Amino acid sequence: MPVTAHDVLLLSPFLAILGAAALAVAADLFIGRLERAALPFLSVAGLGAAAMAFVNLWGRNEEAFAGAIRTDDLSIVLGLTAVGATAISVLMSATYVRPAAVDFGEFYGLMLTACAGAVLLAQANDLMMVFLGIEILSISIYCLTGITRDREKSAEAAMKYFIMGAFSTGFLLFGFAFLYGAAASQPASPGALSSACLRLDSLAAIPADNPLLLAGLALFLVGFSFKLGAVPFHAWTPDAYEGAPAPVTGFMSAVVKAGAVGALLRAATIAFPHLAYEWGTLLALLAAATMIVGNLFALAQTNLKRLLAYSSIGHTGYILVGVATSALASDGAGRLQPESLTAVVFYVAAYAVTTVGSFGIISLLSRPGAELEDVSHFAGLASRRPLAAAAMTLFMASLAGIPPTAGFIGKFLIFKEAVSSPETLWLALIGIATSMLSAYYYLKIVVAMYMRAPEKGEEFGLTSERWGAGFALALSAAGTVLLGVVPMRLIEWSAAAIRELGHLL
Amino acid sequence: MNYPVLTTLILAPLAGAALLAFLPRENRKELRLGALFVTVFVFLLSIPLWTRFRTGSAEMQFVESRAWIPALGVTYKLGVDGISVLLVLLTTLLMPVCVLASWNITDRAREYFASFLVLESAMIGAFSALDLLLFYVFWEAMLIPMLLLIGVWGGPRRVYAALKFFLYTVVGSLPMFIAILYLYFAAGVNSFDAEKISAALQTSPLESGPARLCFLAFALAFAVKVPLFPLHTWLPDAHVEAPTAGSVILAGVLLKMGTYGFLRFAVPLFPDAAAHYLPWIVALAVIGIIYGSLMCLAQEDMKKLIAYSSVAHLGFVVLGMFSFTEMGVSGAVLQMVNHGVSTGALFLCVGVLYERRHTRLLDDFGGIAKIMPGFAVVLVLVTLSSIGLPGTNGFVGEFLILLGSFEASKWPAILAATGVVLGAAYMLWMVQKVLFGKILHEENEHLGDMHGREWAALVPLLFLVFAIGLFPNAFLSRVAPSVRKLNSQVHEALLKSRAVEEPR
Repeated sequence: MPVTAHDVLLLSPFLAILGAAALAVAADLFIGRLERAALPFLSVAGLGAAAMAFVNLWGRNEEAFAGAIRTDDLSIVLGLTAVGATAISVLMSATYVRPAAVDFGEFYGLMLTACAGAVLLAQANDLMMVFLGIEILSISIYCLTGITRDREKSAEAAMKYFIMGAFSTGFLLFGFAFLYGAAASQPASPGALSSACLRLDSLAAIPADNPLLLAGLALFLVGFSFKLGAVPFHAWTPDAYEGAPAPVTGFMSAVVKAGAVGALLRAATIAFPHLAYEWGTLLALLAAATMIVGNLFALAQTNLKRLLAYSSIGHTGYILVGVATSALASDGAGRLQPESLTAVVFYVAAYAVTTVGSFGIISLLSRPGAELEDVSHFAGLASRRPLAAAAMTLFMASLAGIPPTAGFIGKFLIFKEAVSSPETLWLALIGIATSMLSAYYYLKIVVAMYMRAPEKGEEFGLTSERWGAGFALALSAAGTVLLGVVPMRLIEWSAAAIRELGHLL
Repeated sequence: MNYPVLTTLILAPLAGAALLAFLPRENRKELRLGALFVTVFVFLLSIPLWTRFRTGSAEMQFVESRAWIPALGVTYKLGVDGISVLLVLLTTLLMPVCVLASWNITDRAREYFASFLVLESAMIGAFSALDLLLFYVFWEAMLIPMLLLIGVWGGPRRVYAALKFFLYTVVGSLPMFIAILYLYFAAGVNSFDAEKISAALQTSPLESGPARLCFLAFALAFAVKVPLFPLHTWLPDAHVEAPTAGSVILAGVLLKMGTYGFLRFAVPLFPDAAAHYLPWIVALAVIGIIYGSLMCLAQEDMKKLIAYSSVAHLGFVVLGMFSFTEMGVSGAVLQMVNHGVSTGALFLCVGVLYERRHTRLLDDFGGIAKIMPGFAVVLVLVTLSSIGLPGTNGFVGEFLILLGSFEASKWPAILAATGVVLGAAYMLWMVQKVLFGKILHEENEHLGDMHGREWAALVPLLFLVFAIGLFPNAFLSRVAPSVRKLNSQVHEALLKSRAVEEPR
């Protein structure tokens, strides 16, 4: 199969990021310690190029590599989300990694490859590409989790994450095998399996009662629930979030969601629309369990990173509410309800900009070896670092869904659709009840920053080279407010992405 | 001049807060002067709401409507009618007073005044929003600044009080959020515009089950804010711990959000359900009046006493609202303003004493009238207005409420009238303990009388006490048309629902 210029063009964002990753790793070999400060900027430049390539491809909605990838508006919105979250994380990590002695090319290289994996995952249009995307993303993040090797927790988290992740990948691959089997068992389409590629949309042609298809779908959902951290496949999340260096934690919570949700939405709309009721019910149950468990467990946490890990589980629950609603409110003829999918896309972007910011503050204030672990470490922050405290308050408000922030509009969009149909009203009620719970633990952080006297002991200060981090922090704070006040643009883009995906049927 | 008055009023304090953020935090003088300047400026900007208001019209005025999220039917729609215009003016008037009362804030003054200004813009937005979602946005936006005001600059148990305030409000308002979303679909007009939804519900009403649930969801949010017995327990804590200006704004404006919410949204949207639950709400209001008054008699802390008196006074407001007579509802609206003025002034008076003696316990005072005669005059006047002496604002409001509720049903009004008697008892008891008798404590002998800044904060409120008391018609004539419209809506809906029920 010859590669055409067209194929390369559609893959150009992915290539730009990979190119920057390779450059970062290579440059590290030739430059001295001092010039390494340039590495973040090299990475950001690569990400900027990818973003420009994405913008350039907006609205084209074309396939490449014989349908293996599809660069459509969905992949662009989520891809840009991943790229943006990566750029902010890269800028913020500079103050963290230098004193940690991980200020080398591999760190940035891995961040970029993870981002590339997420981008590929959002573009993947056949099962092999889904798998490739997931693996590129996951393996890079396993390494990043353990990159501060001297910290016991970091190494432990990487190990746990890797073993659990490998396990889930096994499920996923097993599911793919079933799906291949299901496709091969179709007498009507002998050409479908001419190559190793199995296009997602060809799965929609398989009758819904094919047992192999059902088994494949179930394992597919298990694998993705794992990656997204949905209950009961969430056990890795708190450990991995706690052990990973702070800039990596925020990065992975945003980028993994962007990529995995992209693939999930694509599979939901074009691969399994005829099974919408089945997977919709399943996801609704998962969503309910995820919201409840995530938010309840977060209540009990005193470790900030674990708290935010459980909160991220809770947010996965809200995302799944949207996906489940689209299925349960579908028209029965394989057309998912588009508004709730739009809401999901918006939610992921809103969550990404907020979570990257909140972990950015954690990484800004912590040092390797003196990781900012406990909520009490935030005590009195407002009198020492008023701007950081104000920004953190903003992020917490957004995560709790208090207007006028991005998180509020996201929850508004998701719950609005869930309320609209009687089958999902209960999900909205659970969502609201758990949001009430979540207000308490986000508030705990705000209370610590503003109303508690600083504890004695080590001072969590800032290093001198912080303007890059400050800039990134300002970006994500601005994003959080702007998406809350003028959300229209992003909603329109998300709606366009979903509309376009719907046309495929 | 045809500029968007309400938007200007919302944006000006925000701009002021942003400006304050640029001042260095050490410059306390410039910060408080800046805050005073901004709040006075906002008050001046709000004057057209009084002068250019078309008295006699029940329609929304100063309406601005822009698409905000058109795909979802969310509009940026603002407007005031006779019910809300006075509350917006009350807000803009109380803010400079609050800044004057915060003159001695030294700890993080920049953040303090910025929180106040953000709070002001959210409050004005909530009073003028005509779109349900926009209202919810402003409603929730008030939370964090108020949380900080109580929690950072409050008394010793401030964290507990702030958390309690926040959690009560959040738990109360999230069901309202779901109800708003439900309404959007139930009305089927693809809009969150309250007027459109209410018009759609009039032609095709909700079934009584969902309508009652939605009403309860709205009522819960508002009842927490009012606060209606038994949801009032956050209020004494919040008042006792909040700084003086925080108490003034909490009693003066934030509590009105609850009663205003009933009048603007809960009742017009679900008149049937409101009528269904009317006996319960009236009962809770009456319990609140009597319970609040009795609690006042047992208090030793002045702020706590005034906080419980707020529970009683707001009980009166709810009683008047739910009479659905013209006098009752007009009286309730006026009484919202009166309570803001009188209770605001009372908290300022407590603040005057607290700044001198750093205590608010009744037992620590006595005979103050001899030492601070100016203060004594003010406190007596304010107290008289609070207990509703003829000639003061409180009289007009309470009298109308009692007349209106008596017209609607006798017993609640009679029971509530005992609250008036109790009110006179506890307020005069407080005044007597503080001002008169022998000077019990040596420390009190050298207290200075009120100085210029304190007079400046209190005089506008005293002016309003008598302005409303002596010329109530200037205010009532603005309120009445909107109240008539609301009442006719409610009565019409009731007739309709009875007409539907009878053929069965």
